Amino acid sequence: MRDVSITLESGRMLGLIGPNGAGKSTIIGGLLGLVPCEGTLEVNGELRDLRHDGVPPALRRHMAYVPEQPLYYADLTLREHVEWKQRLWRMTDVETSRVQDRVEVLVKRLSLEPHLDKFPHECSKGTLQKLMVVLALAFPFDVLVVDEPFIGLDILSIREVRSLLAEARDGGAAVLLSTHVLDWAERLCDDYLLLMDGRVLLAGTLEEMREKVGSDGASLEEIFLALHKRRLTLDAESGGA
Amino acid sequence: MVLGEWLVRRWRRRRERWRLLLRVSVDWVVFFYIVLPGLAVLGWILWRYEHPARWSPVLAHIALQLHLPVPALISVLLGAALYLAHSIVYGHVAVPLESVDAVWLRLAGVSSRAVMAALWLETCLYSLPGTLSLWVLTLPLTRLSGVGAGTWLLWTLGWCLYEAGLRLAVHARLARSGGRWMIRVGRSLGRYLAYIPSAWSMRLTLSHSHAPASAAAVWLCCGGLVSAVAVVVAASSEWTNLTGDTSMAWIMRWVPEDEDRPSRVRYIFRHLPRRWVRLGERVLGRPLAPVTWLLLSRGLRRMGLLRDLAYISAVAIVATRPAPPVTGWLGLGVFVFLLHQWWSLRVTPLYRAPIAHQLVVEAVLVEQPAKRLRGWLEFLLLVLWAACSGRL
Repeated sequence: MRDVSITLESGRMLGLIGPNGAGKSTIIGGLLGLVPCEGTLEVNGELRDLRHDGVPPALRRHMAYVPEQPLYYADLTLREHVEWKQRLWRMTDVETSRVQDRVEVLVKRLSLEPHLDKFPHECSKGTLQKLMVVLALAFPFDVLVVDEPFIGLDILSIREVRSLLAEARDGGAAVLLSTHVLDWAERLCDDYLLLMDGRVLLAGTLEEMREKVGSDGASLEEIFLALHKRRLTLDAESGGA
Repeated sequence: MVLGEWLVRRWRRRRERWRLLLRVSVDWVVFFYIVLPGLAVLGWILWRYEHPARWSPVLAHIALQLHLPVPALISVLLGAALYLAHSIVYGHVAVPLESVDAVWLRLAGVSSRAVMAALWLETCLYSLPGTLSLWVLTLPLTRLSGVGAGTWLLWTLGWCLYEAGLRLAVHARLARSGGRWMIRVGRSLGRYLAYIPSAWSMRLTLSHSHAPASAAAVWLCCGGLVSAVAVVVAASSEWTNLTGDTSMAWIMRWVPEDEDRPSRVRYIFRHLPRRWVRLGERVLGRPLAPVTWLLLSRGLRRMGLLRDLAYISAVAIVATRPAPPVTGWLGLGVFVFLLHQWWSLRVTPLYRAPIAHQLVVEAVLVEQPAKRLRGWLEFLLLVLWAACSGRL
């Protein structure tokens, strides 16, 4: 990854779009401090060197993350996964009850109730993905990072997760959504970052990107395919030269 | 043609897996603690073989102590070595079929007997290093019986053929380890009965010092005959019995990333940790530290963790009880050190990954209580061991 700049604004959702291997997960890893990276992080006007300081813990506490592959432990039930995070947060009683209420609402909306006392190997991938959503959204956050949240989910759950993401954005959080599914990205996101081979192809709102590509009324998919075709032509020309 | 292509593909895959195993396991520790001592033992064996006169008085002394004639002692020692090798390999082909192989070979129209013969041949080849090791290790003993190295090699090769045939037939017929009790009884009974021909043939080869080579050659033929029958028997059974864990699964057990696999979890303790946590928090009057909670929740459900603690404790108490005071305390110190190392190997993985994956709190802060817990456990067990071994 080189020369990538991302701006996450409160109350807006940024779509990270690109084919497999474009670098979406690497960007997310760098942002969360899971992958070493070089660069500068600016939070509310305060600059930090990512190489030396990493993502500060105080900021990480305000970030929620839904990973592409569910992260779980074979010997903890789904309920205990929530409890582990609750214990780590060391919240006041008021905060605890607020989180508990939020967990209950999320569990109900995602139909997780019958699975709470099961171990991960007794659950489907979709159920584990829902657990990841609960773990991310039940706790207070200002930045929500979501990596391919719809994989393995049934159509009802996809609709629910989509509306939960929209609610998070409308509630004032900055949301970063990485996905291959351009149709859903177009319905949800306000801004887009189109990536290919570790580089940014295009960035901006849908209208701005239509202007840059020069096709009025084009969908996100059409814009992406046009850029991809242009890139292939350029590569072929440079290869021939 | 199809069969040959399949065998080459299997061989290549197998080679890759061994490379992976060597990459993850071979280091200086293995070299110093396994390879070097192994070479030293080999040298010692060969030296013993070359100088039987220095070796025989020791054996005669042991035989006298046990009130056994020397030839009988040699037979017992060789029989024990053979039984150990037999019980380790009994009932498992070296590389089972993979489900995709079964479909592919069936569609290609390869005969069952050809596939089973190939499996038998593979098992023979993969057993060969073990067979040769057994041959080298038992050479000094057979030399004392007057059997030559060549004759004994002939006998061990016959043993290799016999065991490979047996492994194939048993695996194909009685593959399921659990389930019906008839299968379990059959497997256990077969383990002992199948050993008898080897032991009998070995005894004949050792005792017929005037024609041991002929006895070994007959045994080799028997091995071939048993294998031919085993191939026919295996070909008449279902192929699904021969599909199963590949050697990759065995290798992956050594890779640290696989630490958290479900088979290591004791799911019958579904509710136990929660009760213990509640009890602990009631006794302490405050919530447990997150990592302590995690250790209790995962540790109680983790296969073999409490068993390990019980083993270490039992060995520490039994080993240090009769020792004089200074040696006893030194021994207890060594066992505390072993406990410390055991924690790093078995317990640390239970909290290392969850702490690394969480993005809420600094990892160092979460880890502190685990380190304190380790110190307390070591101290409390030292006191317990000292009390049980009569030092306090």
